[in-house]
Amino acid sequence: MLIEDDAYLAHALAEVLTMEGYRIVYACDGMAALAMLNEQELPDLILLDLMMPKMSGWEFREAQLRNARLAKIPVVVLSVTGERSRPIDAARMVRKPVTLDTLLATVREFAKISE
Amino acid sequence: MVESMNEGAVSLALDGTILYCNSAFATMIDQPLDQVMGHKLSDFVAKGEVAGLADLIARSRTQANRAEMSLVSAARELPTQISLNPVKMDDDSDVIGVIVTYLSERRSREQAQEAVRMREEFLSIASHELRTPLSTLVLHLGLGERLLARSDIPRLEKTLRKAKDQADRMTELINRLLDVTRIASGKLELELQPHDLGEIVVEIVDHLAEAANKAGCEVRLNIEEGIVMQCDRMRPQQAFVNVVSNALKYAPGSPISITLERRGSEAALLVDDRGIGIESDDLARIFNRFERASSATQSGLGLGLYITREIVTQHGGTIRAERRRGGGSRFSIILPLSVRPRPA
Repeated sequence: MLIEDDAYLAHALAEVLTMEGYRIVYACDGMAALAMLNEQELPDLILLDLMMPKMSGWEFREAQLRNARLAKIPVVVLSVTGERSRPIDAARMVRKPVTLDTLLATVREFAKISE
Repeated sequence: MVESMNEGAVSLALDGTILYCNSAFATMIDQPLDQVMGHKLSDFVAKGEVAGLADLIARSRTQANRAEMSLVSAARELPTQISLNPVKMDDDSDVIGVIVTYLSERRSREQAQEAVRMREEFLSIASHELRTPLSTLVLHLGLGERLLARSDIPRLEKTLRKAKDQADRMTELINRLLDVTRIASGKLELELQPHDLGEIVVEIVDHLAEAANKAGCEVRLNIEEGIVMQCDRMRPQQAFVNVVSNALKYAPGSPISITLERRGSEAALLVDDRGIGIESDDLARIFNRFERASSATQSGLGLGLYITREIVTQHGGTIRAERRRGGGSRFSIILPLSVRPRPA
C-alpha cells in the first residue's frame, strides 16, 4: 500500500512496482488509507510518506499501531526528512529521492510478488 | 546640552567625517575622544555595514533617515539605532546631525532568532517540496534504464516525457522560491511599460489550454478590449497565470469563466469557478506564505497566491477570494491602470 499525497510520485512508484510484479493499492492521505485498510485485505507492506495534509505520516502510524488488526503490517517510511526530525517507529526509513534500485531492494525484503 | 545626553551625538561632514561627537558616543564605541574626531564614522561600524552607511549618509544630506546599525565597541558588535538629520550650521555650512541610541539587546536578539526560525522553516519546506518531484524524476530515469534494456521504446518515450515534466515542475518551484526571497528582501523590481491586459489574458488561456482540457474545465472568456495598463509585463501575467491555474487545479471538471473589464481608472480580472469552493475561514489565509486551503490535496509550495498578492499590491492593486452563491469561488484582481508602484 502506498500512502503518498503527491500524485505524480505515487504514480511513478506504482508504475515501477507494478512492473516488478507487485500488486499496489494507493491512498492519497492517512485517513483514506485507514478506511481502505479496514475494508480490504491487508497489504504485506505500507510505503508511507510523512508530510501529508489532513493526517500526517506520524499520525497515521499512531492510529495504525492502536488498531490490533493493522498494527503488524510493516511500514517503510519514504520521506524527505531524515532522522533529524521527529522520530517514527518504522521498519525502515528511506530518504527521498529514492533510487529505483534502493526502492526495489527495500520492498523485496517485506513484500511478496503476486503470481 | 549635547554633553549631558546619554545618547551618542555626532556631527558629520557630508563625506562622513566626524566633526564633533559627545563623550557618550565615545564611551559607546570605547574610544578616547581624540581618537574619534576627524575619523570617518564608517571606521567605527561593523564591516558589513560600511556600504550601507555610506548610502545612508548620502541620503541624509537632504532628508532625515533612521536605521539600525552595528557599531564596533571593544571588538564586540553593538547594535544601535541611529537617526540622521541634515543640519545647516550658523556659518551656513551643511552637516549631518546623528543621534545614536542603544538598540535594546533583547529586541535585536529576538529579531535575529525570528529571522533564523523563518529561514529554517522556509528551507525545510523548500527542501521537502523540491525533493518530491526530484524523487519522481529519479524513479522515471531508473525505469527508463530498464525499459531501454528491454528495448521498450514507446514506453521509454513516455517515461522520458514524464521525467521532463518533473524537471519543469522543479524549475517552476525554484523560480517561485527565488521570487519569495526577492520579495522578502524588497528586490522585486518593476519596469513599467504600457501593456494590453486583454492580450495577456488571451495568451495565458492559450498557454493553459492543454491543462484546462486535461482538467476537464471549459474556459469562457469575457474580455473588454483596449484595456491598457502601465506595468511590468511579466508581473500581471504571473499574477493572472497563478489565479487561473489555481482554478484549474482546484476546480477540475468545472466551467471556468474569466472576465476582464474596465472599472473607471482600474481594471478588474475576475476568475470564477464552480469547484468545491473555499471555506470562509480560509478566504484570507490562503494568501499567506506556505498556506493552502484545508480542502486542498495538491502538493506545491503554497506560494502561488502569496506571490500573486505581493505582485498585485506592489502595483497598487488588490486581490480577493470569495465564495460564490451556488458553489465555487471567485478570485478578483483589481489593478490601477496607471501605476504608482509602492515600495516593497
